[in-house]
Amino acid sequence: MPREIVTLQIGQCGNQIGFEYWKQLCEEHGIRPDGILQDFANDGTDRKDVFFYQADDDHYIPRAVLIDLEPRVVNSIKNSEYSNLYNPENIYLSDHGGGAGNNWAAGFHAGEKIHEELFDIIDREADGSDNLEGFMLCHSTAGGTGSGLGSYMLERLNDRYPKKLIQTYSVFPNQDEVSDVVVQPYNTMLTLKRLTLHADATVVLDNTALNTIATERLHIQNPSFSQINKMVSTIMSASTATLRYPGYMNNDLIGLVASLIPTPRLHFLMTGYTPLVTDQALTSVRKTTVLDVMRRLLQPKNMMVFTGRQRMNQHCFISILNIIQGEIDPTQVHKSLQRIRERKLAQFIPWGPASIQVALSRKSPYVPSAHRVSGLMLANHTSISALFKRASRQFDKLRKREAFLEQFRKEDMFAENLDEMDASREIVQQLTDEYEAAATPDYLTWGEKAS
Amino acid sequence: NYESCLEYSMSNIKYHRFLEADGHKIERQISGLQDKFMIYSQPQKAQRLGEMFLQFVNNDITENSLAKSQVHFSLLSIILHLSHHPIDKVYVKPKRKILQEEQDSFNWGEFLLEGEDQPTWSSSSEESDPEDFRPDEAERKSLSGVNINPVLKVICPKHETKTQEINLPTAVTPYWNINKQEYEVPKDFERLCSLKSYKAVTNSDQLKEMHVLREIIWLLSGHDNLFIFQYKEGFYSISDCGDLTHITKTSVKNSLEIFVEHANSLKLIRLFLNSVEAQVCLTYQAFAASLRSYIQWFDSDLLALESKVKSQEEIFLICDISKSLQFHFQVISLLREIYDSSLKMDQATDTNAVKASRLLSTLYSAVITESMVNNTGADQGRTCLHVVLKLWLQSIKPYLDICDGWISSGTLNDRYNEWLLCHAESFSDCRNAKFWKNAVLPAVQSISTSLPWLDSVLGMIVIGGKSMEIIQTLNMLNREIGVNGKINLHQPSRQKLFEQFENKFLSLVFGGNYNQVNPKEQKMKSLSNEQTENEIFKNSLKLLFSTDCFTVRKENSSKYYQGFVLKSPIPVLIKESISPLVQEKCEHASSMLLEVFKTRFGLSTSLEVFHNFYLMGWGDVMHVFATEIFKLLQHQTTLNDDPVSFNIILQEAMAIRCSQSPGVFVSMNMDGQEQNTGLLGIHQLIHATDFIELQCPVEWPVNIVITEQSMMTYKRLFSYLMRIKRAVFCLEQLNFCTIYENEEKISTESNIKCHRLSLLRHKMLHLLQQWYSYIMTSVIQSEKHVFLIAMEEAQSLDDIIAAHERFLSRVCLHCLIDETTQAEKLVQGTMKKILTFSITFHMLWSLGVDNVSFDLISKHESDFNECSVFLGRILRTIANRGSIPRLNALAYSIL
Repeated sequence: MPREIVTLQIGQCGNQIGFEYWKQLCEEHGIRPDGILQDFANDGTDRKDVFFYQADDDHYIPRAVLIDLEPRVVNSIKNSEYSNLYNPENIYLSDHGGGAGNNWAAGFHAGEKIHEELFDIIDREADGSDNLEGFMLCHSTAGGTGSGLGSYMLERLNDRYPKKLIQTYSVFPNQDEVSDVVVQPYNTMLTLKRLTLHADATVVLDNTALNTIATERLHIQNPSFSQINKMVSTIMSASTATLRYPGYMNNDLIGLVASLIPTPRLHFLMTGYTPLVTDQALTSVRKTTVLDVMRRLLQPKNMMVFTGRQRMNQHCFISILNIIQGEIDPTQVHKSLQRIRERKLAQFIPWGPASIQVALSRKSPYVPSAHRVSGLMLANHTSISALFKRASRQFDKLRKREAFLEQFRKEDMFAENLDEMDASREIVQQLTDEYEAAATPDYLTWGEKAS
Repeated sequence: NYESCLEYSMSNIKYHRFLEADGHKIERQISGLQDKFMIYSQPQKAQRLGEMFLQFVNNDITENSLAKSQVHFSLLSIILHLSHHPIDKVYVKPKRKILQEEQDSFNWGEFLLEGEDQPTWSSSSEESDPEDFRPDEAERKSLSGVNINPVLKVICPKHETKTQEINLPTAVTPYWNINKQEYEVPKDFERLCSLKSYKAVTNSDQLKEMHVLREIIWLLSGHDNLFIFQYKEGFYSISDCGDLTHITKTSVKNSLEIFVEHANSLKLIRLFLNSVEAQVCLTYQAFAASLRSYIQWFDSDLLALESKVKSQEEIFLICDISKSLQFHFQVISLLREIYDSSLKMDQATDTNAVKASRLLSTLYSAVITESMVNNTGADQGRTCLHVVLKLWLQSIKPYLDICDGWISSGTLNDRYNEWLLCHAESFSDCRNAKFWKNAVLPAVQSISTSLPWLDSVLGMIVIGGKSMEIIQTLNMLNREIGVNGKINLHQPSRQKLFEQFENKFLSLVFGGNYNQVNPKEQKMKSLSNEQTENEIFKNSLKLLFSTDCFTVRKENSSKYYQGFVLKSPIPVLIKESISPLVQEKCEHASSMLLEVFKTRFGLSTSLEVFHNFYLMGWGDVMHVFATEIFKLLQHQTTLNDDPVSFNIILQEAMAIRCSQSPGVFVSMNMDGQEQNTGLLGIHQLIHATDFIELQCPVEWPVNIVITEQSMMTYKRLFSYLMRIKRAVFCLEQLNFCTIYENEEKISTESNIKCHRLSLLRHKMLHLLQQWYSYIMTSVIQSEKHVFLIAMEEAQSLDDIIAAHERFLSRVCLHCLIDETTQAEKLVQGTMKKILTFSITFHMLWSLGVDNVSFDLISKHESDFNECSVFLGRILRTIANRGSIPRLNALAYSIL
């Protein structure tokens, strides 16, 4: 009884990263763009059925639901070579095709309207699985569809499938440049509330950090979205590697995630990946051993969340999960852990155990890689509160000025008042406070403060 | 006559010129004699004369007189004078053991007596010569034990048959008057001698030297019916009969004693040879065969000697016999020693194996001893070492053949149970799982001392033999089942082990340096083109026993006999030759067996299956399986007794990975289960999964590697892992929403409670997950890695078994699952508590936050903290002891 996972791709950004993600998975499992297994792909030990299912004619179909309110991105997918990969019944494009116009409320209400159809698809997918484990949501928090419709989905999924795990890959906007979406702070804030309350785990992908890394590490001057999305897809596929290449442990999503999350609200995870390569083969003089990889992962410059330019000395790791792929000598693992502890390469919370976990996984035999060992880190770090603080600050600035609120008032939710926004702000503030407190030993008695 | 002789000689000796014999004159006389001989074209006699003169002169007669003393020359002058006066008296000059000088005045006699017709021994009327008597006795007594020993050759008519008459009157041709005393004083002699002996003598018991010689030869040929030598109770002894005219009895006895001794040895050997029948073990038979060929050689030599004696063409005396047989005597005494150490010690209760090993070890030590003796004899081509080496080589042939048979084809053809290893009876069937360990036992104690040359390769032989037996059984099995694919026993070389060993050893022993090309070897090669070097070496030993009389030296005999070129001591050479051969064969056998195991019987697959299921290598499958079971446990505290449902679960889980089931199924083991009617006691909670067992039946021959014991270990580990998994599952499944109910209902108190519960859960989960990942990654996965490497490098089944055992024991050690030390017991106890905590916590959680009081939470927290700190400390202690350094990381992570 495999533990299947259904992926929901919402919005422009969500679909783009989803597209890259499935491309990556197909490469790794040796599936051609039309879904047929390649001839050389006869390694039977990988678990394709977590993310794919087989149709009658034996071609593999991803368990993915593509949702967007405007057709541009989905059409480009349909016109790509992977058009035959997806189940066309799982693609939902809104009739009017106008998109959400970067308006969270629009997206949200659109969700209310298309609830039936969407959940038809989702129910079908869920029934088609023997034992659905959970959902994976890909979206951005700055736009309209991804954030608004995504939030709606989060709420409804939680109601409908309360026992299922919901993991999100949320892309946060780039703070360094002024993006074309001026209302992104509102959208972010509103989405954050739902993420906090209804998601079980959120992998935070910060465009700021992604851009920085692309520029500095990969030496790309103006990284395009496709390059950044490639990085994102690497991260996503690495995080599901232990599900698809089963090893001794971490064979289901809940196992991966459960140890990372101490309390229900502290479920925002940072990522780090090493080594990063561009498409051009970069000759490197690195030696990649387990210790090496783990050390590099702990360096702040490899984190894909921008936590502000000041150094955060008082912040610490709540828990870390390292997923190491490649040719690993399992005897090295405990030595590396020992080293990390001895040299205090990572700062841990004072009120609980210093939780580092290592999950070992194979690599795909069909994707050549220049490095013997590569690693992904999923970490619950208290400095993510900086991200929230930043978002809150920007929200406050706009809110005080009451700028750009007209579009929102057009929608039902905000027609009468903007309580929703304030409520969201409140929740995010609590979240930030909780994270800050988690960095201190007081967290043990956190609940005694008034909620 | 006698009396006058006696008087005359006495007076002469005492008073006359013999007192002052001039040494030079004497020498000149001797050399004159020698020249005469040369002229008369009898150079051998000249030589002989010269030799004996030198010998006599250079040796002491008594303690008082030294070499070349006056006494010497006096005696010599007497003898020379006597020789001028031949009397028809024949004396045989006995030789003393102390290398008494022999005067060869006999040549005159021969010369003169040639062609004369001698009366036969039957008509012995003529011999009533008083001079025939033993004057020497009296003389000896008077002359302070000095023996004057002229030597006369005995001329007798030839005997046709070998059988002897009791009475051997001598044909007396009294020719010489050795001692004037005899001439003069026969009556005195009568007085001096006892009547009895006189009578005995007159009853024609006079012997001539030739008679003695021939008796000696017959004695050595093994005849019992002799005159001089009596055969009583299996021993020869010199009888009191028969005298020689010119030699005293004691000296006769002395000189004949050596022959008697050797004859006794020969008798024993011949008896042994006769007793060896077909029922005795092969080693004995081989030894007897080669011994027989030696005896044959010896006998043919004796025959040649006899013909020489009979023909009387040459001077031949007792000393000559012993000289010519010297080599053989050496060999015989060596054989006697061997006999004494081995065959004589055989008792009826000894098994054939003991006997055979005793014999072989004696031979071997003889070889070694001989090889250490620095042989400076003239003939390097034929020494004792050759003989004994040949004996040894022949005797070990059956041994090596049995060994070869076992190693090459798996059948131990030991009809007489003489080999040093035997099958234990209880494990005669190869298919028993215990066969590998216990089937082959040594039949002989202390192999290392008794058969050192085999000792070094014994281990390999055992492994090789067992492997071949298994392969043989498998082949037979295939024939029964009718499978076509017979295992291809690719034999690298069909040559027998013995031949290979012989070739190699002999080439080492003889060859020395291959590159040296002697002209002799060149000639050999040109003479016999087909003969390879190996054959030449082999022929050296083969022909050793088969050519003619040793004394007859042929021109080209050196062609056949090679001296030893021993570059290193013999034991080393033996080892050098036999080890690589045996090793090659055994390795061949072992590697074939390994191949068979791996390919036909899928040893690796079985091991993989065990690993994947019992040790949860197939994480996803086992996870699914386990999770289903745990879910069932959640809903009901006891599980069904029905294994069918579990099997279904297992099958469904396995379907994820592979389409065919690898033969694993679930069974229920209700032995350790306490059947309570109500809820299980709190301490039994964690054991709820214990009675679920996986069964994976393993057939022969794979169960040689995966033994019963290892299966028990696997099962133990499995239940241990199930327990941990259950605890982890319980904690992972805790949903926050169960306690954090609705947002609206949250009160501060509940909040706090929830918070604390969550944190506690986090801690517990952390600890359990650390422990679990320690076991899976650092222990099982790492050890598997090591084990796989060992499997690759394994060269025999023993290696694989050892590696497997090591793997399992290390896993158990690192999991601290064998509760041997106090610390381990504490660890396991604490772990049990923690595991139980997790389950109770789970139950607590599901009750909802409202039903949980602060106290309960606090209690749980404190309990758990205690346990974890304690555990951490113990682990740290164990890690600090150094045996399991990996625990350090674990300890760190817990604290």
